[in-house]
Amino acid sequence: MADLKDKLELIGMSLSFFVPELVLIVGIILLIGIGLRKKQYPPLLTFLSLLLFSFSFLCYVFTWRIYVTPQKIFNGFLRSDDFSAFLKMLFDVAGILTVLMTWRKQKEQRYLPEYYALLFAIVLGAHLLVMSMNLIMVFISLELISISAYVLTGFSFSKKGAEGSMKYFLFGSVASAVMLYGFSMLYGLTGTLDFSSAEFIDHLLGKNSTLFFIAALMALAGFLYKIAAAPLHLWAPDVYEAAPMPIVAFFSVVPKLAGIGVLTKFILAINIFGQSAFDWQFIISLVSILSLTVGNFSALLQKNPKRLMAYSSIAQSGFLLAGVAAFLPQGVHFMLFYATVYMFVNFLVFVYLQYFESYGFSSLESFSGAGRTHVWPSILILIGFVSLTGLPPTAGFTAKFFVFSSLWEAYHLSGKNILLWLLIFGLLNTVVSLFYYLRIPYYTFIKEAESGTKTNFLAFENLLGFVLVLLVFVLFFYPGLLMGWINKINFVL
Amino acid sequence: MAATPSYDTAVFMACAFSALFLPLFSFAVSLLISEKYSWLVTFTSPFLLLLSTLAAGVVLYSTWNQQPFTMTWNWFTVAGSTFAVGVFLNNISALMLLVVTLISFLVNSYSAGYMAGDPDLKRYFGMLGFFTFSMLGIVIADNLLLVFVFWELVGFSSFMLIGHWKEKSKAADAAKRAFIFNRVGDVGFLIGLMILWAHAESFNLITLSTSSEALSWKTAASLCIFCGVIGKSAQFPLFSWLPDAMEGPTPVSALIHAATMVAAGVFLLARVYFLFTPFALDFVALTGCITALLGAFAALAQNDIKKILAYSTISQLGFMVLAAGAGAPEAAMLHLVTHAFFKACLFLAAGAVIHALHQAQNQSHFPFDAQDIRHLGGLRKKLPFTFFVFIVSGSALSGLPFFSGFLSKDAILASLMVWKGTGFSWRWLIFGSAFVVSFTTVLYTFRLIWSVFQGEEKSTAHLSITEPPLSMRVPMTVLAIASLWIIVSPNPFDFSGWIYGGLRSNSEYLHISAISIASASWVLLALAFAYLIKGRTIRSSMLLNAFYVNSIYKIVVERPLFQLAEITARTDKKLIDGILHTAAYAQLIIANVAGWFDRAMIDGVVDDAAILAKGVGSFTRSFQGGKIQLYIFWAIFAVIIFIIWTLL
Repeated sequence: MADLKDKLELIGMSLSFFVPELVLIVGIILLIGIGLRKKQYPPLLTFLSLLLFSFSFLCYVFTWRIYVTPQKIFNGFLRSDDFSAFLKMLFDVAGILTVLMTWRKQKEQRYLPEYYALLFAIVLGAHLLVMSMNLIMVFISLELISISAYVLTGFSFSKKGAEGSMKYFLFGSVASAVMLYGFSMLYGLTGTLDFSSAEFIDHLLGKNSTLFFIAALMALAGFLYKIAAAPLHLWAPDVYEAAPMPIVAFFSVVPKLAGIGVLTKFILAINIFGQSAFDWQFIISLVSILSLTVGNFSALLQKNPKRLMAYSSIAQSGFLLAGVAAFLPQGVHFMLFYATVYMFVNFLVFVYLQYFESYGFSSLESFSGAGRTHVWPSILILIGFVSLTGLPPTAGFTAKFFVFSSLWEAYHLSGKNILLWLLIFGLLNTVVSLFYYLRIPYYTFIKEAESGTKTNFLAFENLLGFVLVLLVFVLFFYPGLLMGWINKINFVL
Repeated sequence: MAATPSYDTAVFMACAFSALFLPLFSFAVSLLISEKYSWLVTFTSPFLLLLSTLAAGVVLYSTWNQQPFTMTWNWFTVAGSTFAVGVFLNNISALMLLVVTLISFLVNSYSAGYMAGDPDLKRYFGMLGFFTFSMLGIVIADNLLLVFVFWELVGFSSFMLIGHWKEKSKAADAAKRAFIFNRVGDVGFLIGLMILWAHAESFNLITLSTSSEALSWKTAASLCIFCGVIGKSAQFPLFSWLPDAMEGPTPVSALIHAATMVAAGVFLLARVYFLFTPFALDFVALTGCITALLGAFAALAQNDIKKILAYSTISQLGFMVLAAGAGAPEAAMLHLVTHAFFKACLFLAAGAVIHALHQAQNQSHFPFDAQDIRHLGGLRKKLPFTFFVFIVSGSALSGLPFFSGFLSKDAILASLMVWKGTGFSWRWLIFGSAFVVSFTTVLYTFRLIWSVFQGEEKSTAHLSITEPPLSMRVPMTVLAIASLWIIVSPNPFDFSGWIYGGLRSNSEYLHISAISIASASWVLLALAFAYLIKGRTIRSSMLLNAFYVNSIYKIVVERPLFQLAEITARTDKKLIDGILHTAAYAQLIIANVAGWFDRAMIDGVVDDAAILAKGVGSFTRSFQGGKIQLYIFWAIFAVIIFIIWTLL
């Protein structure tokens, strides 16, 4: 009996760190429950989702203290710490922004309760993923994200949507299978699933076998698939093109950041504090270079804004990985800064892509002359693109600058040539990215078209966009506001 | 003075700031009101100014003979030096505050009648409000930098108001002229401020006044600041803009070019009096004396009502500057206050004459220049009220006993008497000149009133002329009452009343009975002489053109300037353009060569780079065939390649 009591106490203790996740679970159940009713009120659903996401977000804001010290919960399956808490806050904010983006389409969107429920499921999966310390938990949360994402991809209920969803599913299944295979081999090698435990590391220390490398690389492949990094990026353009716009915005942020979060921890584990016989820093840098190059160059000649953003998101994964590749605590901090800025800017751009899509701007050429008829949206999306490129005076510049500076420092400390190459490729790709990011502004402002009627500039999108632009500027002029907080985050395995 | 203020600070501050900002509010209201309701400003502006005047009255009542009120805020910091803005209200500025707001209020209500029917009432009343605000800014600012800022704003509003009837080319020219002349003086002012900052590192009036040592830089700084005074107060040699400024509406002339703005120079002199070294003061006195003589004689020969008054203003301002130079800024300030009232009154009365004649002309379509006294005469019967006002304020200007002008002039003469010393020096000459000016003043004032109101009617004989409306008569009455001796002191022969006592830093009694008697009999003598010659005009083109100062400017400044401009223009065209052309041709040739190089060599490289980028792009995209089997194949393939590459 005493055993049971201990267990219950443990669960009780664990649950105290698990409040936001419980909120999300309640949200899923509530939404599915409402979905069973015949008649639904879309604004009510939207409002409920907004409320729950905000509640989860505010949990972190108001009880930040309890997340500061790392704490293993649920028998070491999960760990609560400030690194994961920060990322989880980003997921919640992304959830809020996605719901806000859906606001406009809530009447047209079919199966709205399920739509929101799946959104909650992905956010829940992302929460769990960044907290996971156990390979099984990693797999389960990754699958929670993936399977929900497959379904959401098809939520435009068109032929294209179904095709994208199917492709996503098939590719994802293969990636999951490969990863699971890798996990099983790691389990066989170490005898434990907890990749942060001393046992896991001790066993790997002795075994510098090829099998270990293959197993770890296969496991890594699963994460790379989730963050859409080359060479496992191939699904991204088709899926982005097929999915509804708020979902695309959501996909380009939440699963990606969740994958990066867990990858950062996993790569530290398999690197065995630099004792590994294999150069994982080299692998990550190579993947980063590949993603940057593939993403940026492929985006150059795209004609569809969504596909363009898909390639852009592949390239941005490369930049995020570059922060990880420095293998410095500082690099992780800068990666978190980059992730935050990326999330805001990405939503800024997608909010307006959705806005323009609703006016029938579906290809790049169709944006011609939009600068005259949609003045404010054109200006604000321009700021978004400038920030994605990484030019001052936007936070995108600050973020890129931070990442590059940590790379430079890492190069100085380790003297590895691959880091220098990564730095050079990153800089070159920034130049290349200028060409495609500024194509939409080029069409809106430079190309002439027969002028249409001017639109109401007090649209809801403009308010949201204005707030995001303000953030982008504030983070440029006062990066210390965010960096001061991030610097306090203590990243440990 | 009392050690602690005996008034409620909060109420006091509220009053001080409402006195300052209500005119600005009036400006804003006038600008924002819609064109359709522009007649409303003729009510709102006088009303707001009335409130401002009342607030200023409370301020004066509270601070008079109390501890000066100061308040500062930091404005901005440059290179470690903090610049502050603040308020410094002592007796001088509190008095000035009331004078400015009161006259501004009266002029605003007068304008409601005078400007009725003007198409651009909004701009007119707006600028009046803005002017008043700027003027008050000069009055209460506690540091010279801020004073300079408002100084310029005052100049700007003066420019706008002189050129109010901008469609008249003369008015536009006069506005431009006034602006440029003031700029010349302000350059001096600015240099003075720089010298001041370089040595004292402060613009604060209180801080500056506590450092007492007389140094050579102080002479330089004070003389430079005096340049600004010369420009603004129309002193020799920068006075000729003031007669031209009479092209503006008459109420504007009354407010700006007689009572307040031109007096700002004298006010500034009194405010920064502590900066002036003995040498600088002598210079000031000399300038004032020359200006007073010049103005008085020029006024004798003018034919335009307003120009006579303008030259008279110049002369009286010279008188004040002379007093300040003679070490009696309080006498200067006293004269400033009395002059403000009676000169404003004279201008308003002149405006009433012009207004009445214009109204009559409009009905009869009988054109003549209503401002030219040669056309006028005998208006006494048709405009009895205006005549009476003219007499009262004219007497004050002439310095007849029982009028305020007599007392303030007495104060100046008494201080000159002390200043000149006992031994004979050049100061005796100046003292004598003061009497000459005083004599001449009576002559031209008499001539003006005589030729307008006495004698027989000339051009106006057939016109039916009526007195101006009530809104114009009330301000004139108030100002006429303020021209009596009673505002200065209860004793009509002793100037040391409440104003003088409050302005004087040490309460040393300076009244000299001999001077009062001499002055009174001298003025009466002048009056008798004037009656004898019955306002005969002196036909002197030298006096008419104010000693040809303007023509001298034309010859000495304007012509060489134009010649220089022509020379530089020619040099520019021939030499510089020539060089530029040569350079341009050279550049063209280089550009062609570079262009060829660019096309052939660089573009080739860039094109190749673009083709390369495209190539890379299509290579990376080629995996994107749309077939999921291929996707998976490529992904697995890439992972295998990774493994092989790393392991081998």
